[in-house]
Amino acid sequence: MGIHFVPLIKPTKLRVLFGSLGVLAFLAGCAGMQFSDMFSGYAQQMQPVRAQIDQGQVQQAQSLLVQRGKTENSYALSQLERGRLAYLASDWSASQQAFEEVYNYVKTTNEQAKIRVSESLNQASALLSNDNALPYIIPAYEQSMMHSYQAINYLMQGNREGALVEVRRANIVQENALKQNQQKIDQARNDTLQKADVSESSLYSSFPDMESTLADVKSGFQNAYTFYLSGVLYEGSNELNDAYIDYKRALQIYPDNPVIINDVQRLAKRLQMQDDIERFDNRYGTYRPKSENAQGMGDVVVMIELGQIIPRQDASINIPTSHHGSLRFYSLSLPSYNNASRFAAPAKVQLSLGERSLLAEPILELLPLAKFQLYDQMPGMVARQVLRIFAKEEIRQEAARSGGDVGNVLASLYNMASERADTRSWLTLPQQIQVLRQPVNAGPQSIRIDYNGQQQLIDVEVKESRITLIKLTVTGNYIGYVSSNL
Amino acid sequence: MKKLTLSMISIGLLLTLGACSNKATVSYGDAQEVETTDLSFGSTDLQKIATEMTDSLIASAAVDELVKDGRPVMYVERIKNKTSEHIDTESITDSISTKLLRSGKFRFVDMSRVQDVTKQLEFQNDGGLVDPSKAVQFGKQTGAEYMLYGNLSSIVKSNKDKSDVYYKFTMRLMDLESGIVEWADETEIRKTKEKQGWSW
Repeated sequence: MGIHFVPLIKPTKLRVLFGSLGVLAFLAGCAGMQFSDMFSGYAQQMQPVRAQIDQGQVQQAQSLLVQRGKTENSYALSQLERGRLAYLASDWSASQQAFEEVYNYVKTTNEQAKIRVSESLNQASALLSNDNALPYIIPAYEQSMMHSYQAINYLMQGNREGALVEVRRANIVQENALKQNQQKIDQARNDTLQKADVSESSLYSSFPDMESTLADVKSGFQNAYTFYLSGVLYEGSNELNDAYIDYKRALQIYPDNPVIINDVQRLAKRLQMQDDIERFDNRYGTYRPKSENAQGMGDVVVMIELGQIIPRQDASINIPTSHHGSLRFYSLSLPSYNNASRFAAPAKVQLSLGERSLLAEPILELLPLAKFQLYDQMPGMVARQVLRIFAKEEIRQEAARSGGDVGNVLASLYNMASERADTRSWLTLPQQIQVLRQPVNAGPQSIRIDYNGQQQLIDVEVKESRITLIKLTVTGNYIGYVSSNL
Repeated sequence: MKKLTLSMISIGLLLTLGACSNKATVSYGDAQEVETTDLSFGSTDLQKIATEMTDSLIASAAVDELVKDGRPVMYVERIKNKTSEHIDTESITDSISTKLLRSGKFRFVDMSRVQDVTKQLEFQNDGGLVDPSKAVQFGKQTGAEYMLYGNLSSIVKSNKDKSDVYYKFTMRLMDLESGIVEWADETEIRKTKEKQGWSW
């Protein structure tokens, strides 16, 4: 080194300082973080990828996705994003592989020992940097979405049995989510009963009211779209009883969706579920088939994915405090969903079949699911944040002792810069899914989709008494679709 | 203090290095050995299903009746996978048909190879390369008299302490001419895994 300078602090102290910074870097490394994760949030890193998707440049989006190794704690999350992008690029086998990795990860995590020593190491490094040092836990709604995409992956590769396996996996995830949140449902039921001042016995008379309350609670952790897709796939395999159960589950979450109502009533009649027919007739009116004559007709089911899910915001604040005349900063950061930046409600999609125009109905909003997940994580996040302020203050004091002013400034800068909210979530998911179902004449059909002035013509071959499934993705300037005869 | 830090660092280094020098080994094992790597459908389950089903079929009184006048021709319809795992049910089918053939009581036609056979016969008869007198003729194959079919279903449950999986395999033999189910049996498997208390 050709430059000479007079050190502000003694070399030994400098060594200690760099040593501790080294330890920090090591901790980050051992926790499986990339260096950039310490100083920039996940939502921020994903921004370019999302922008490319909106432009319809799926390949570019794929190349912009940050590569993560198996030991990194966001590995499973990166595989979710990879799987979804491959799905958008119609690369079914690559998408299937990525999602299979995620499934194996979830399975291993579920089977892990109740107490893990390495987990406390992660907690320790989360205290010294931020919550991104913790392994990403895949919430139930992301798992059920993943299995739904996986089902389509199998379907598009001609493996219907595989698709049904995925549907069953999705149902297991959703049943477990229900089990875990049973308490919340019970509470909502009791609250409604108390509010309405009715006894459990007269529950039936206040049925519609109760139903929508419970549906609101359920839509926080269960997803009607996955149930509906599962019902359609079961119906396509002529397993009507299974289909009926899943349509009914979807209806519990979206009690006013006319598409699901019609399917439930149709199958109730077909399977001669007398009690159910009566109950649904009371609630929704007598069943009217969508077409009088079923002969020579096939059902077209269109599922439309709209927009992109809103990312978590990093709400960080630095509070300056003066202590014994020296200035200090306490940094706080917690993720939130900012209502102000909310998308305008997605416009409806119009389908033209011949001269008729039909409207699709929403079957899934992903934001409430994501919000519910954040709400669930919040107590832990706040507790860690409090501990982190103390831990980082400890570091700063230590650095100030050993490194004087330079140490103090460096540590303060580190503390502020490393304070990042955990904005990790699956960000290539859509914002909303809408559904439409209509019996049409068998044979080649041209279906025109209108969305916000964008148009797409879809040519399909409808087969008699079979379901033609069309999956459409609309976001930004991008429209893509796939179709399959079930 | 300094010494303590130093020794802590060296212990950490040793641990890291220890993990690196841990070599993987390959060895041969007994194919019939009970395998309990994890809860998912494995070789032991497949062997148990195939053995129990064929033993039951061969020992049944109804089958004694069927094989009285020679070896009946059968075919195995695909086994339907109704579980929540991607299981290669063709491999179960293969094991069962192989075991039945080995018993010498039945003969089989292989429906999974019909396309290949058709292609070969087309080549022999229409390709112009094969001597017509030596070509295998169309329309000489024997039709199956019985169909063997079944399905595999599962129930999976888990809580924070343990996971449990239950498989049920059902199989039936149908007389294709009369539609009568001549034989049916089922076998069950239950596996439970309790979670470890703690680990690294």
